[in-house]
Amino acid sequence: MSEQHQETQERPLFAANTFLSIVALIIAVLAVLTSVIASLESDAGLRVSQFATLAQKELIEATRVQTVGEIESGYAWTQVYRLWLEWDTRAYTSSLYENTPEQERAQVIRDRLLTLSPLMGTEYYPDPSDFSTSPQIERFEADTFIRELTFKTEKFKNYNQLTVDWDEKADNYTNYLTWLTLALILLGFSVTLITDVRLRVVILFASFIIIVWSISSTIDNYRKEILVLPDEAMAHYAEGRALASQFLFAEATQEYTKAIELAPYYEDAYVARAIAHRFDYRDNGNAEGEDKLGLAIADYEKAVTEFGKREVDTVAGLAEIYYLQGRFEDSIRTSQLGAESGDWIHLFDKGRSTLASGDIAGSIAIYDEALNAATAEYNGYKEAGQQPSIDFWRNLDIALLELDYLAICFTDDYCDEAPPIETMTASDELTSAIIAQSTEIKNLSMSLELFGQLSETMVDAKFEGILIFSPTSENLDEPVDALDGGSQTITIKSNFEGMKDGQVFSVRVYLDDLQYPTLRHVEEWTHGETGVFELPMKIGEDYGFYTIQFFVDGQLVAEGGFSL
Amino acid sequence: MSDISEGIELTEIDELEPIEIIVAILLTVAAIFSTFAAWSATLIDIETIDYEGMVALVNRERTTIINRSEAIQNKTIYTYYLQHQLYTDSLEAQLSDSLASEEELARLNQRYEESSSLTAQARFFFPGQYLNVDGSYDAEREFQTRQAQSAREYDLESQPWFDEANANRDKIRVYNNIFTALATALAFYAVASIFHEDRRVLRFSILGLGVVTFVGSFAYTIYLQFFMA
Repeated sequence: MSEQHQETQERPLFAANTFLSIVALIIAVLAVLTSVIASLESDAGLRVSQFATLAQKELIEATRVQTVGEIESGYAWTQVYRLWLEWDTRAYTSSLYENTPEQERAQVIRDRLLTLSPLMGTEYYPDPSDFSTSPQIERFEADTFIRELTFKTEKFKNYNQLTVDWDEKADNYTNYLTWLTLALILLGFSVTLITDVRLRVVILFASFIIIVWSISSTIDNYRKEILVLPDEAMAHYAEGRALASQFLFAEATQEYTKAIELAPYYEDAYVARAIAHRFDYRDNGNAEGEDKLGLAIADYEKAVTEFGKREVDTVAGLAEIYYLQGRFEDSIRTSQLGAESGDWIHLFDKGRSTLASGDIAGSIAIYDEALNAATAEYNGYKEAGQQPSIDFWRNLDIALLELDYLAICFTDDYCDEAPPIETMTASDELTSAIIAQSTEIKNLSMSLELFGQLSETMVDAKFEGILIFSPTSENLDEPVDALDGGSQTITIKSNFEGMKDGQVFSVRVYLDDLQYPTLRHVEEWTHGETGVFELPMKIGEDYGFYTIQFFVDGQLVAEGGFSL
Repeated sequence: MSDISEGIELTEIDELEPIEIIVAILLTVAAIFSTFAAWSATLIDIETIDYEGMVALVNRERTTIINRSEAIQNKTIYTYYLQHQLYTDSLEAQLSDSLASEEELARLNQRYEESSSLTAQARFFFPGQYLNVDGSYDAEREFQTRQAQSAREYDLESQPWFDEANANRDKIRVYNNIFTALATALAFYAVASIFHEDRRVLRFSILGLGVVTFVGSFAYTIYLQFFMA
């Protein structure tokens, strides 16, 4: 027994030197590991090319969906419905003049037009005889293309993100492969060219560090989770966007919630739900126990803080809700975060919140910075031979509108779109500052439009208010501030003094929150220094509050309005 | 001198064991086969097939946009035509049984002439073959007909290309696994020769594992190469 034991002990394990054999064993194991990592790298590369192809496919298909959808909706609305309205109007006017044959002709054509597009069917236009309704174009567009377009766009973004994520994984594997190759070379050197024992130990130690680091990093890289958005989550998101496009914000939030339940990392769904909560609050307010703005803030904060989203609408949306809640410090901080990305709309937001907080001097400096930044962007467009984007003018309008809402909160005690009055300190100085900043923005907007730069001309002209006279009012000599619906030509009048012939006089009209471009008026002044200015203006069936602004050389000189 | 060197060579050959010769042969075969497998994998094309698929996709989406907009454009003109035609028909009916004054009749006749001319003009600008029996315009049929024509002129079927590219990706993945298996087989062979000749069970076990791994990889590669479509 003891002999046997002795014999076993004496049998060597390795054919050659133990050190060399162990190193050879390590090299063999490393060779296998290297081939495994190469295989993982190749697999990651294959996924990159597959997801990149899928992303391109979705993008191309989305372009087709949008183009065809816009064409079909355009036909339905601007051709079929417009013509239907035309013949309906002819039928109506013929009936007023008791021209029965003409009325019947118009009715036949009008009714036949109802068959030409699904938009005019009962699904989207249940009662054409009701003058107060029109076809549900938003729902038609949602069904025709918005839902599918959103779904495809989301799939594109998802595949694009997967391409980026897998590309990063593949790059990491390549990196670790390079290091492992280096370790293999070092191990090879240690058993062949190097004879010095101390140097061998150092090289072996360095090789081990590289091997351990590479293998642990490879394991981390392999285990690193790549988030995939399920199709079902994207379908709910698309449904939410389709509902939001129909102004059904409460229903939209439910769809976004379903998307988030399926994919709690769905960043866009949080932003979309925040926006839906915000507009649901604007349209319907809070029911008992509800806090829609609070829910919107929670979603926005998650998007900005947790997901690091910095898109203009996301940051500006969060800043706006802080502002609406009277949390001016938070709003200013958020706008500053956005301003660091270089978009000037955040400066206007910051100025607004600073003004509402009562820091008038601070707000003036911020507004100056914002006006200069907007002018610089405008000049950049012009120098590049381009026109400013729609967003450029829209952002100026929004900046203006928010100041108007703030002013109305103090002057008319209407604070639905302004911070709670108790969070601000009302003063004449503050109201004057709000109106002054509002005028600055109006001047900039009109000056850029007319002259391409902020007008520096001193304007001494004075217009004494804007008065509206309607041919349908009971007393034709009395100005009105509210009109009944129906087509008519009203007269805008204003006493003026200090005008000079040759000055550029312009009129801009807003219907509720939006510019009303069809009622634009620009002329070179030829009416003398003093007198009564009269301007006829045709109005139709567009109901709401009309704001009329007079500008001389791009500077606001009078403002008034009426409701229809 | 030459005697000495011959003597050394003879001694070294004499020292080689059968297992070492087997390992050397197996290593060579595995290395050659790895090269063959690698060469086979490089023949698998993805980029060109994806490109063909993308061309077909762009063709399909481009022709869909063009053919849809053509059909809707024609339906737009048909819409104008329809108004004028209905108006003309109605005037014609009124003229045939009108008890109107001469002045009124002249006015109706003028409008009739005008409307029927506008009908004829509009009719000139859209294809008649897509008019249905009831006089309606079948824009969907026009689109489908145009799309069928496009399919004769271009490749519109992108999905078969993408499916083929994905199948090739799967093939490459399989080859990747074969590479790993071959590397493992090579490692087994190398490790088997590390151990002392007295450790026969250990040596042959490791060598056996290497052979099994190699034969499996070999068989699967042959299957992929010659029997899998």
